[in-house]
Amino acid sequence: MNRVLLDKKVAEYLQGDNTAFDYIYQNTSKAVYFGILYVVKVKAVAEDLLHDTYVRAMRNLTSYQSGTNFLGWLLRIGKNLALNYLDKHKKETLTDFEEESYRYGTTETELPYVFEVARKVLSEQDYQIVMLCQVAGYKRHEVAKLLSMPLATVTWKNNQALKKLRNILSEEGEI
Amino acid sequence: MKDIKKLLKQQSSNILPDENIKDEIKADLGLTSVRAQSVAYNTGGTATTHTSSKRLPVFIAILLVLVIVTGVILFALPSGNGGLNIGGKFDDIVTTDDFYAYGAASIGALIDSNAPQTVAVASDMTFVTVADTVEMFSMSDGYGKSNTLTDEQMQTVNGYMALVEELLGSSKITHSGAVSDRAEYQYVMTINSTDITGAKISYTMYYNKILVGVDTEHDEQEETYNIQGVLQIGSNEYPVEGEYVSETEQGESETEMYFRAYTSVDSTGNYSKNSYIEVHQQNESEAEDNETEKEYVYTIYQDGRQVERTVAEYEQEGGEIELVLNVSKNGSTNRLVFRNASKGNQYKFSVSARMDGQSINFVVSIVEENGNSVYRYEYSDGSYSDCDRNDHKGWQGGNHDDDDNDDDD
Repeated sequence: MNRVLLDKKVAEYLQGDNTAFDYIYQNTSKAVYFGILYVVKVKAVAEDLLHDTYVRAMRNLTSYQSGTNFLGWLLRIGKNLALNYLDKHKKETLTDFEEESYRYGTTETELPYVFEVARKVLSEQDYQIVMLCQVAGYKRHEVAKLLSMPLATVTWKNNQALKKLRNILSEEGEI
Repeated sequence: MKDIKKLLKQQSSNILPDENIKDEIKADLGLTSVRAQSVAYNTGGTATTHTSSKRLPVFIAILLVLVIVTGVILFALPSGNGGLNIGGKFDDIVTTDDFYAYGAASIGALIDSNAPQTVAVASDMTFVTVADTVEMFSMSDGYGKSNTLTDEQMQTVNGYMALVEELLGSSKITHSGAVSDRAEYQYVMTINSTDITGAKISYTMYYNKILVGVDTEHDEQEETYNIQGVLQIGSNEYPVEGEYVSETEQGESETEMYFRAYTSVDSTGNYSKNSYIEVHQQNESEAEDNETEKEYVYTIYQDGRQVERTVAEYEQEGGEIELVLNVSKNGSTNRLVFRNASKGNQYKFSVSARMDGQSINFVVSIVEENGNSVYRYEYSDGSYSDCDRNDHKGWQGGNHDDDDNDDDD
């Protein structure tokens, strides 16, 4: 993902080229989604907030200052929406069935155990890197550009996070 | 690692967001015409919103012609980088010996470049403007602009110029092995390369290669090799060591290698284990998506302390191969992007740099000055500074005249 090209697409969208949205969404949505999911934990909620993030962002696109990291701007909107959601629903404590959906198999909120563990034991940044590299299918050099990090750092963090996950799952007899 | 990667991949469809969300967003944003067009194409239908169905085949035909013509032109035109692929010289590194040869050549270049240098600033001299000779390129990064490099910044860049010459030059790094003629070592490897001007560079490495172990578990096999020896750079010998670890499983492989040269002699007259230059490579390839990412990390240690770390990788921008160096030093990281801008016998690199929070574009030319070969740093305001192009101790002749009466003759 080229930040300059992304800014160009944002400018094109602002000038009325609606097709630019496809590029913008294609190149940013997974990162935004996993950023939200890390906070809210529930897939269906994360999907709703992903929707809300883009609607809000694209309607307020003029407030984005070109050259200041569009993805970072989107991530902030997504995270704010996620935190607002948590704040609004803080009285609705997750039941054991929802919190440990992998054990009880509630289909609405179920996420495979490996993802629950990843969210619990990895930092937000490490979680983001693993999800983008291993789940969303981005190449490491693409993730490096996406997150504005050196490739070596992404590689190292990805490997460290995978080792950590593997050790925990191995101890628990999951793999 | 394969097991956890497979698990994540297998389960990915259970966590990735619904594909329909994009269409829902577009509908809410009032981009329905775009949506209709997209749906029509996806379902093999025709779109009536923006593009007429009659014009579409014509458009596709034009597009195909353009693609074919572009392909023919690109195939026919000589590359400005001597035919480098996207992976640059890194694509030539396939075997363990290739890596050690590359390690020896690149570390040799860094040792050459990091000898003490002198800087001659000539900012008040008139000189042909850079814009007249080389098209500069720049990074649109929102950073402040600077016109010239400081002496310290120039020394940093200059420390990598021999490596840049090696990595952006057109010739390959080749090596040949033989049984050692020195009793203490099993093998001898001769590594040959050229600098950007075509001058030959040669290093010799004597070494022992040791298979440390083979670890087999199910269908996974891990092998570890070590090498230990000496690298001859001119009349100097530097102790070297390296390690190669490979892990293969069902068509996927991971390799990890490092090569290290010790650079400082301690009070006992022996090379200290605390001061060295190391190149490290981690390479991962997967059979499914044919992805291979290659980068080389150079680390300089002095007295047990890491003083510099540089990540080298190739990138392609606008059809041009660029060498990108991210140099971390004194707590900050500087990004240097080099393009080979040589024309005929005029050897030069166009550089776009982000150093100390400032963006700067300049050209580094190789010029002969009073019988010495120097790097000339040329700036957009017409000023320039000269910096030693250290005599490569591995130089073996070719176009370069090493008889310049300096200390290393």
